[in-house]
Amino acid sequence: MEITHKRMNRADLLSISGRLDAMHAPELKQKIEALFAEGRYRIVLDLSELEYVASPGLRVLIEARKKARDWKLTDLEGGDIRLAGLPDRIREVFDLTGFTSLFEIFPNATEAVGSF
Amino acid sequence: MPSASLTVPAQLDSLAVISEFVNSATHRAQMSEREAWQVQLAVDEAATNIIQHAYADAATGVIQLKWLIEAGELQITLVDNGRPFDPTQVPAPDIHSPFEDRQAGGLGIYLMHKLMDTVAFNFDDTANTLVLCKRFAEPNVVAVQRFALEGRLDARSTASALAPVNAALTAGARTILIDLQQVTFLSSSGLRALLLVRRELNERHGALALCGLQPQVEEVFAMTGFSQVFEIFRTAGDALAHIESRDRA
Repeated sequence: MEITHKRMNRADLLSISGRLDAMHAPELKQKIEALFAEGRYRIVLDLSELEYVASPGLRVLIEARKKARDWKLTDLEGGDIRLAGLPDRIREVFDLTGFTSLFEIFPNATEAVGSF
Repeated sequence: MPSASLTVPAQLDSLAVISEFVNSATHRAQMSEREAWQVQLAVDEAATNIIQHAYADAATGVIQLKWLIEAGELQITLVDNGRPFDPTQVPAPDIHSPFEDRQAGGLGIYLMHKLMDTVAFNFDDTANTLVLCKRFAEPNVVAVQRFALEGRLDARSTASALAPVNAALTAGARTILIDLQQVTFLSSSGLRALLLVRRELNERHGALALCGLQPQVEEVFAMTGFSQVFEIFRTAGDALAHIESRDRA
């Protein structure tokens, strides 16, 4: 798994490629928590190059979104983790586990970043 | 029945090796890309559970894996010696609950059930055993594949004469008819090669039929007692009629 990070005004973009399994999930968790520690709670995860996701990866996503949403700028604006570019196999796992309705999912990273 | 085994340390590092092992099974079963991915994910989840729960991330245990292909089903067994952990007893997550109430755990086991046809767990004093099964669509094979051999089937010539038959076996053939009408001589090497073909077909619940034996060839079968072992027919037509009637039965 590889994660690249790009900082933008509206949000931080993490692009994840390869396998997000039990072996690699902790690394993603660490990257996201490092952003939280800097006060960056608006994060887009670009999954378009992700080949594989297993439940430890899903767990990181849901826990991270819970923490991000705890940060509130106003009653209406706050932190979030939004997803972009789900490949078919990843979407199938999301559909099986009900994750499709748990996240805001955008066709690509540009739209996801623009949504903040 | 094709099968294989693997023992790996119960560490997250092993997940990649396990993935390769599962890959060899799904490849052998000629599963579709989607079926293969489903098995990959289910076994990955099972192994992750063993590493993180049964052994609680202690770096000492091992996982024994085995796969077996039989009658259109791939069976994968995982055995560990960690603390008893029954994944079939873990309550399924409510995948329809709203985000605020959604629990993060339990998804691995839930996925195993969703992706496989059966998930069975057993434990005794020493080991946890988890058996995952996946039925798959068997690749289409021609109902009966016919081969006509000729000349001598002896120590020198048998291997090349039977090469097309063995290629069909590798490709998954189940029912083979070998016409021996043009075979003038059969030695013990030839006989043994035919026995190997028969055994391989029996293992995959298929059948081998022989036909058109010349008298001197028939005598070899009779002398060795193999007339009773092989299904032998006078003509190819007789053999095909027999196979068809049996398939209808």
